[in-house]
Amino acid sequence: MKLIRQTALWNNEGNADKVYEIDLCETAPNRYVVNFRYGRRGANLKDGTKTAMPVSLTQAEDIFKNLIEEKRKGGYRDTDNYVADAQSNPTFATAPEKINNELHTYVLNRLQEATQSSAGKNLKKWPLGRIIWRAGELRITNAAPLIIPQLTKGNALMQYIACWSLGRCGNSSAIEPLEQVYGSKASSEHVKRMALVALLALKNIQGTDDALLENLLTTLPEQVQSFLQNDKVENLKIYLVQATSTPESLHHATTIYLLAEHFAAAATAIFEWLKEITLVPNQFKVARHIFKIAEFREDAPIFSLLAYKFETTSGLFTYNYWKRNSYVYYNGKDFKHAIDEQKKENAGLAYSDTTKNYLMRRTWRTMRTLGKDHSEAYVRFAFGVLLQYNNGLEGDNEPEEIEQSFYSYNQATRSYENNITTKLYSAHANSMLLNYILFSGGNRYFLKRNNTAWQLQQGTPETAEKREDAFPELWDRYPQALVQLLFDSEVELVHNFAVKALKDRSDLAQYFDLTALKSLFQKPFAATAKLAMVLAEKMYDANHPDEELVSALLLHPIADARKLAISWISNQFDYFFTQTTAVVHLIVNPYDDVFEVANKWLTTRKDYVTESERLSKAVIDQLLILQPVVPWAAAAADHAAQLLSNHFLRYLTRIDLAVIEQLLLQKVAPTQMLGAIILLHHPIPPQDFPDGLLSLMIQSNNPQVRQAGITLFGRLPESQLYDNPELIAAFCVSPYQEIREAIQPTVKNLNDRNNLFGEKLLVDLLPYMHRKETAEGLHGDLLQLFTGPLASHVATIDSATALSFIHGRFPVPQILGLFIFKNGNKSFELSMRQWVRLANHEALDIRQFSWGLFNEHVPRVQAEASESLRILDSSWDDSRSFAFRYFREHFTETTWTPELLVSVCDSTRTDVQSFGREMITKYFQEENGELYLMQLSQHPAQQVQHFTTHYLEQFAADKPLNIEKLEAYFITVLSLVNKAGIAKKRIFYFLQTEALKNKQVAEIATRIIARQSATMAVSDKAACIGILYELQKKYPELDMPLTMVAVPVYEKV
Amino acid sequence: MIFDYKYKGNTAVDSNASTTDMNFVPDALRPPVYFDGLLAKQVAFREAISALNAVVVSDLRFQPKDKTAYKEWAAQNELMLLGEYGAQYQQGLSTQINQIKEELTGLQKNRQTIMAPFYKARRQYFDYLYQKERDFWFVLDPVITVHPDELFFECFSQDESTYGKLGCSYEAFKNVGEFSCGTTNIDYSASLYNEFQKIRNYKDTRFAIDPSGFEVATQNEDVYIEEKIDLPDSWVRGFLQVSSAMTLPAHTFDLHPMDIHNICHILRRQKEQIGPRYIRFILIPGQSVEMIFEPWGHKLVCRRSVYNGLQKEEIKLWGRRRLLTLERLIPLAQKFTVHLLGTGLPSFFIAHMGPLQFTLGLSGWTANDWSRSGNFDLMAPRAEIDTDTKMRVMKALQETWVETSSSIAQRTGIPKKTVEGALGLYTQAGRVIYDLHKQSYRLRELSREPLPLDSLRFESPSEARATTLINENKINVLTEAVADGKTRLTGKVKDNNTVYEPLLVLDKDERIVHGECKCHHYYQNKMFKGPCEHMLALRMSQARQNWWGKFFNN
Repeated sequence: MKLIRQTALWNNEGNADKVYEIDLCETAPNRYVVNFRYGRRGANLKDGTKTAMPVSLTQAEDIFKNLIEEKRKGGYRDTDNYVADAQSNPTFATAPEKINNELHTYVLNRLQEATQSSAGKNLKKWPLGRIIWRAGELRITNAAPLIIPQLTKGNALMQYIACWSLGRCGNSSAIEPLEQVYGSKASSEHVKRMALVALLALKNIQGTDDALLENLLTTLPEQVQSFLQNDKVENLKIYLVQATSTPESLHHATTIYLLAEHFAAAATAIFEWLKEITLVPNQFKVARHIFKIAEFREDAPIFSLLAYKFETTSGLFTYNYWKRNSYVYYNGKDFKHAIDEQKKENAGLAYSDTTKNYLMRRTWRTMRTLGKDHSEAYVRFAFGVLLQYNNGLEGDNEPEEIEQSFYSYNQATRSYENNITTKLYSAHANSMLLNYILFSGGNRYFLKRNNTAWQLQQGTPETAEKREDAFPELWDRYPQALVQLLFDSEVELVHNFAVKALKDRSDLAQYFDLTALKSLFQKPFAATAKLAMVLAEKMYDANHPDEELVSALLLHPIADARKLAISWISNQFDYFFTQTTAVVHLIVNPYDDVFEVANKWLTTRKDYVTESERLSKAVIDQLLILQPVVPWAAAAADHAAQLLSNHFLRYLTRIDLAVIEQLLLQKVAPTQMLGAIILLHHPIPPQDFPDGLLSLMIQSNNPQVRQAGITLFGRLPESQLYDNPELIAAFCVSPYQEIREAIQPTVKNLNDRNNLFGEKLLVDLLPYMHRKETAEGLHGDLLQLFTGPLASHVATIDSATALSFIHGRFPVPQILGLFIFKNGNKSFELSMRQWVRLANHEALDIRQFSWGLFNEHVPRVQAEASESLRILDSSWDDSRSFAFRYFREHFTETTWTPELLVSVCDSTRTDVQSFGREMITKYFQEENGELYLMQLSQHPAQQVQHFTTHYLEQFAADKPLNIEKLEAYFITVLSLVNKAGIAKKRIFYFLQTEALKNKQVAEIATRIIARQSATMAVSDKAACIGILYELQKKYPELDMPLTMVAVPVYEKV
Repeated sequence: MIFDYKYKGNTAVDSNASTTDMNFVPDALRPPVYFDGLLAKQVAFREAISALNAVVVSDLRFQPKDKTAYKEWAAQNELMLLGEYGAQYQQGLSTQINQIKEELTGLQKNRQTIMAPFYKARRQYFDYLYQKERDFWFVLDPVITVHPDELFFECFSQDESTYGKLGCSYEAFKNVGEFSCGTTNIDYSASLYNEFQKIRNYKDTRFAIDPSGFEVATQNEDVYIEEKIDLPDSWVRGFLQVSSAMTLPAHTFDLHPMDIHNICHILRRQKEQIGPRYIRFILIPGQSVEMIFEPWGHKLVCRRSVYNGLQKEEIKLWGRRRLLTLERLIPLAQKFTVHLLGTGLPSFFIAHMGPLQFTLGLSGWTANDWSRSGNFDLMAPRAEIDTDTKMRVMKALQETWVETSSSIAQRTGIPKKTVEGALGLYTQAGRVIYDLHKQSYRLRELSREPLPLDSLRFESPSEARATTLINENKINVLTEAVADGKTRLTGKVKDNNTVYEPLLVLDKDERIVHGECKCHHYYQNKMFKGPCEHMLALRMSQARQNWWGKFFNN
């Protein structure tokens, strides 16, 4: 079959990229066929034919033209217009962020009204007890005469209130009635206690409290008395702690606290002791008494301590619904009636949920009242409370969004629905007092009634410009409290509040001195730091620069602070560089910006090198005292090491080796590295190092130090190194990558001087490439060694070893194998079969190497064509497409022998088969036609069997011998199930034509057709019968399974 | 069951323009077997060995459709679908949904564009791995046996249902060199198939089994390749069942190659969607063999093949698609001999290709699950013979490798029936096979170590108990009724003085589709763990009655 004309069409409409190739071929003189191939460009094309039977040239040309025309209408065009593969650039979607008298008068009036017997309805609105209490709160001295009668009139509660109020009002006229109440046997314990507190307060004003105090003191045990008088806080505290476990003596604590205004030891001891108690029964009772007294006295430390304690300690038990008859199980005991139990002297129950709740709200109410009354006590209380939070707040300060869901019945839909609401809670929502003090003045935060958590209004801004604290004007009156908060508080929210309250004050600077400023810089909060910076700028005196302040700023996490310090230094460069502290912190500094500036200064201002020795020593001293626990230690040491090694290396090398050893022993990695760097540049040669210094380096945990150790090792005198080839080989395969890397220059050096060394080393190291890696990256590092310093020796490795690397299991040695071939010029030692095997290798580099060999040695490939053609069977697409191109280009008519062409077609790959068919058609020569027909007819692939039919007419027609040889082929094609319709048609036609020409052929054809005629495929069967009929007509003597049956004739009746 | 093999190198087929060399590497752990010869019928051998390869790789078990991708999509789009449904009740929502959907589609398209090269590369990588590890597809390497008169390959498919045997008598070779008889496994891999396709008549083709192996050219590659294959017991059992079925009497007839062509033609043209899926052979003495293809009812009359049996038979054959293995043999075969044991029982198709015979053995069904259990027990010992006699028969066969039962009987003086019984037992143990073509027994040790026949005897403990019940004759099959194509079996089974009345329903394909019993096993498991021993006993005794009845009661 000979190719007459060929056209290739291309369609790239939409996402399509398909080709359609049309061939016009001559199968026999004036017998033409039109075949086509189609499919995606680059993929295996499908075959087809437009001519089941060969036709004449004119007909074939018509079919050819019509097919082209038809395909053009279908969107195909000429392949000349192939555009380079339009690399579809991924398009990214553009992605669419008053204490006024008025009040006193009002309360007095109300009190007067209420104390009259005909008080009437109004009492219900504001009961008498409350009015009296309010008078006490406001310390209305004139109210006392109105209150005193209530001491005898009212019940115990009214007496209690009256005592409290009278004590607070400070009217000495109340002393006598109070003494009566205190001395009366009829008075209840708590009334007596309050009367005593009030008496102490009133007599204190008068200065007549000595006798009372003396009495109180004598109620205490003698040792306590002596502790108090001798101001022994510790002993007193120990006594109190012991008393905690003996409830009998616990009530002395209250007495001690009553004496607190007169004995300093008592106040301190009680404060310290209260810190440690828990609110268990008995202890709680004393704590409650002390709390009430503290509240009366407006004793801020004790009040705030207990307030915080109430807030953070949960109730010890909970009442049930029938409160009175609550059964409570607490501390291993059952209590039938919780309320009754609590009334007992040594009650086993105390501090219920309800109590806790009440006390929490009471502290809050007390503070609110004080605030509203413009009392400075509010500030003291709030100050104390805010400091209490120093250790109790964890987590960040971001509000938290919480989803809550509940089921409710929906009337409209008559179903239960799950409702989800989102609530925004403040960061420390349960810290009631904190939130109250800091945020209740603004409108962002709110606490719902009966809730225990503060919420944020949805949609409010994250920060508020205005102040949000509860009583801003009170705080403004006492700025010292705010300043003190900055020093004492560890809570960012508190700092933010204090800074906000302070920042706009014009008199701000007067509250701070330089020492205070430095301690402000120690605070880790941005707001505080900013405030401190503003202050620092104002307070910094350039004439007397404070180096410690500069250092504190240099080490500050806020960049602006560091900038400020840098600007100060640059303004007085000469001064600072003659000093030490600030410059040391400039060098031993974890921040990159400081590092850059320091580096710039040290680079440009070479005139300060005279200071270098002093500075470098100071820096090293600083590095030696730098604690590895400091978070920024590593970064600071790293910067220091870089700066020192870049600028002071000359002076560093004068440092004593013992100091360097100290550096190497430091736990901070960069410090160790600095030691290693100094050693690398030290004038003392490695062989003169003190014993153990080199091995200390090689065994170090720090990779870089190990690396430096190896480098120093490499500098040992050559004689020492040549004596230890095993050691060098061991370094080459060390589990540490840096050791393997560091030894490479040594190997190069030694090999350059003595070629034999490298040769020996190679023998030691090569086996490691055959084995699995003992450490990750070992193969890679060895490869570097082999392709670097040892390249000249590697090139001499024999090709068998190289091949074993290439076909081995490990990827890196495969590259080594390739390297050997590339550099050793050994490809000629390889057989063509091995070239082909390389073209089928998994590694692209190796395949490409093989392609290179093919390209370079065209004559050899041509000479060993039958072997080289095996590349076509490669399982790699790229190798195959290389091969197709290659053979098209380099193989000519003379190289392509028919045997080779048939062997290409013999491949099991369809693309290779079609390549083979293409080549046969291209280099077809008539004299080989018969060979193609005979050999291709044995091919098991259907496409090839189809292709073979083209040769039938020319090379089998009129050749009975050939037809007989092809019998198996005919049967094979005709026996295909549901396939090869056109091939079958051609064979039937061929057999019929030939059989009618020759009787010998007719016998063969009859055998074949007779066998195939049993098929149930209608068209095949019809064809068989047709042929048999024709043959029977011509050769009636032939035996065939065909019986003529007369067609029944129906006649009209 | 673990099978160990050790091969010295790999089987290699090397072909060029004029020659093909096939070097089969036998198992080094077994007694050495060697053979060397030039093929005389190359193309026929090529086609036959390709058919054998088709058996090795065939797996026609039901593969459920992979729905993971759909489920993933459904999970992702559930909200959207719900939204669409909700939008029917709410105005304006649908426009919003459409907008978002449009945007989403755009985003997805973009993602597709960006990710496409990645997906493509990943696909290619997985394909590469799949091809690279392709040899793990095979369960057991084929067995090769060299006998004084012929050489044969045997293999069993992965789905435990198809047996293939390619026998090559020495006429298929030119210049047969020295050989030693015996059985061994050969190293086999997927790539060999491609190399076999290059065999041509005009190329000299050398066939060798060489225990010395093919020396590998490169270093540091293991000289010996060891394989450990864990074969499921059911696989071994299936193999033994099919080969022991060969010794049983069968209905035999010949088919013209075009008849097989026509069978393949019908099967290739249509795909059955519903059951039954069998071929019903209608065998009427003196008449052409007829086949009915269900569920379509196509009738194929084999006008050139006449049944020569004594009695009219109707036999159903399931798993007919396995017959497509024979497609490549049609042009080469002179005839096909068919051995049908009975409905739901193994069948054999032998293609005669001159000196080559290809035997395709099919088990009763393609699938090997409990719905087919309790069918005819092919592993039941059919005779009781003392060990000494068995040993004598074995020894006699070991002398000649291949011999007919009557010849052995004559030589040893043991009655023919005893000899056949003993050989039948050896067949069940996998040590002997029956050659249907030459009607003689052949020595063939399936494995190096004797197979643990006791553990292979029964598929499950309940099957063992069912067999005991049958042997003690405690079953009484009462009724066998057919309604809407299904068969209902009822009966009485006496077990431990309790009488159970199990019920079984078989469908048109004779699979157990329903069962009931009053025993503990049924109450505990229903049918989830397969039928109970009583159901099995019922089914087995019914099958036994039917089968033996046909052959021996008449």
